[in-house]
Amino acid sequence: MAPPTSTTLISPAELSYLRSSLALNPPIRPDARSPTQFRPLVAEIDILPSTNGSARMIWGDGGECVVGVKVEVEPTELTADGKRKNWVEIGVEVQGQRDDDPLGVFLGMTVTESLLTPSSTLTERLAITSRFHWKMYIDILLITPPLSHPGTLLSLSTNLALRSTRLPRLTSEADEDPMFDDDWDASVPLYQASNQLPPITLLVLSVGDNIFFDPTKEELAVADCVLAVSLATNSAKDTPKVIGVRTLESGSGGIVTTAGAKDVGSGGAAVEATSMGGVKRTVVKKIIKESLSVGKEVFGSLQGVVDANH
Amino acid sequence: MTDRRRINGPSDGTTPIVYAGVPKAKQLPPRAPDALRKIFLKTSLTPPATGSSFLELPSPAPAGTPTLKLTASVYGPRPLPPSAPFSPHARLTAELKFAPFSTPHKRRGYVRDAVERDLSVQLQNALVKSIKTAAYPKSGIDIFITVLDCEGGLDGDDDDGVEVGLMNVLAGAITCASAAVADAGIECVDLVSGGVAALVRRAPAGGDAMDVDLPAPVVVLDPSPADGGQVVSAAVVGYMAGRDEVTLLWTKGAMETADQGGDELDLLMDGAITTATAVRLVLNEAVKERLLLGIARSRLKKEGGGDVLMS
Repeated sequence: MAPPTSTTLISPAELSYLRSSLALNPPIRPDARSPTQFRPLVAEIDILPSTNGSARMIWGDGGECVVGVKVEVEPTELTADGKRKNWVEIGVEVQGQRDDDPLGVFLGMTVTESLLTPSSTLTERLAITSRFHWKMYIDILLITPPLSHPGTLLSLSTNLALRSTRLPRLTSEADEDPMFDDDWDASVPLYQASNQLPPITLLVLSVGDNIFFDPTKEELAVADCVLAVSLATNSAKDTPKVIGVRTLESGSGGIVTTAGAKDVGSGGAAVEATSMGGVKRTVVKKIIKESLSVGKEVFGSLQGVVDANH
Repeated sequence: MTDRRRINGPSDGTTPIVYAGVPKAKQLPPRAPDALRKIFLKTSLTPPATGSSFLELPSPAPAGTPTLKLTASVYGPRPLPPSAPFSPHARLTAELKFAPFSTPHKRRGYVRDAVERDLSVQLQNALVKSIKTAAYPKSGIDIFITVLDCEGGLDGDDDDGVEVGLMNVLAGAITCASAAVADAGIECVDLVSGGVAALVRRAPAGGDAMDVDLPAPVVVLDPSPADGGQVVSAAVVGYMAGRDEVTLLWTKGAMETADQGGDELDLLMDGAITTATAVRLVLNEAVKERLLLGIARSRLKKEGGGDVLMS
């Protein structure tokens, strides 16, 4: 959200150069990645012994995210209209930022929305008997203030933590007060291999006709449009479904424009023409279409991480 | 001699109170999926603000049912405090707040919660692209939206479907705020209007929901939380009709894309844009009305001034 523009300390001339190189065909990214290539990352799961599931992810730029999932038994109280409310609580803590910072709010809302989408079946998994359910707490900690927008990092770590989450096996009958097997080896995973997987959220941006994944802070500052696309799928082999799209603050809302036009002449004029105003709907549709195929690959790599740990 | 220790009734009888009959709720025919609600939008209603506007949707029957009512006020461009770092462009902040009495059933607190913050940020993103911020260096533009009344549907999503209440509030806030920005005379590239569309699955009339196959969801423009039906997915856009550009897209619920059999995402987005285009006509009228009023006033002032000089 706010950070990309307010803390980017690069000059209008640099922004203009970056923008025009990203708008080329084929585009040139500052770190020589291809448009759909992610930065290298390290991921591990099951790192916190006192949680039901946990994951840790470190990006090349030093961003580090730890996610812990804990569950506890709670008596079920349906709301007046028979709905399951407040079964999942999500906390996002970004180091070095206040609790009411819009970034943390945005990240929390994105995770909540994508997890509790109507087709997610998450609350069905958390139901124990008709009278009791698991209350799930997902605590997300961004340890180092990341240099780029932490949306993708956070969503991938949450996905891994949920994939590694195990619930104690129920030993009592359906209508009794619940009793559980205390053998951790007998516990059942929250997400079975054959079932629907937890969602992921990808940050995608467009510059001119080009679309980029896993953007850096500088790339975000010159984008026409930045979308956070949430995807869900049944298995790593299927093409995922879009379950949510949100718009992020992009470009500089006019900062680059006139300053760039004055300093760099015709190149700046091109910047002015595009960084003011929105984007055409065809661009938005193209972004979402591209994120489906990239999302499929990402789900595949996450599956690899999980498989390597079992 | 009356008994003074007792409270006696009046010596001559009273007539029982007769209440006028409660008007019978007129059942409106259900709206067609592509029928939009009428919008009342008026600018310059908050005198101290640089620009302001008020938006209201018609109240459905029976009278007194909550409906969406919003006010927007714009302050600025005004100088940033001396402590703020130099900024070559105007700094836009948007703050959306639900009034404590605005929601049906549950009262809201005074302190802004996560939902309000989230809507504020989205509103800011939708508007900042339309404003020529570079024309106002070293200044701040503050937009305040107060939701006076809303239709509900704010509980968040669950297995039964997504809630469109917040999306309606955001779409209304975008339209209302854009009118207020225009009223304040701030330079813009275009006006932004908000539009909502949803894929709604309605239970077949008279049929038992268990026996029949679920009906295919239909695209409903401008859905209301009171309409009923299961909302499969919903989208809201901020749209600049003059430039055919999207400034904001927010969707909820699973959507199929073209290569999975249906292109629900395209349908929803185009539906929301259709709504926003229609809303833009209302926005145009409101801004035009204000402009004509301003012209008429200045003409009156000129004539009036002449009279004063003569006397």
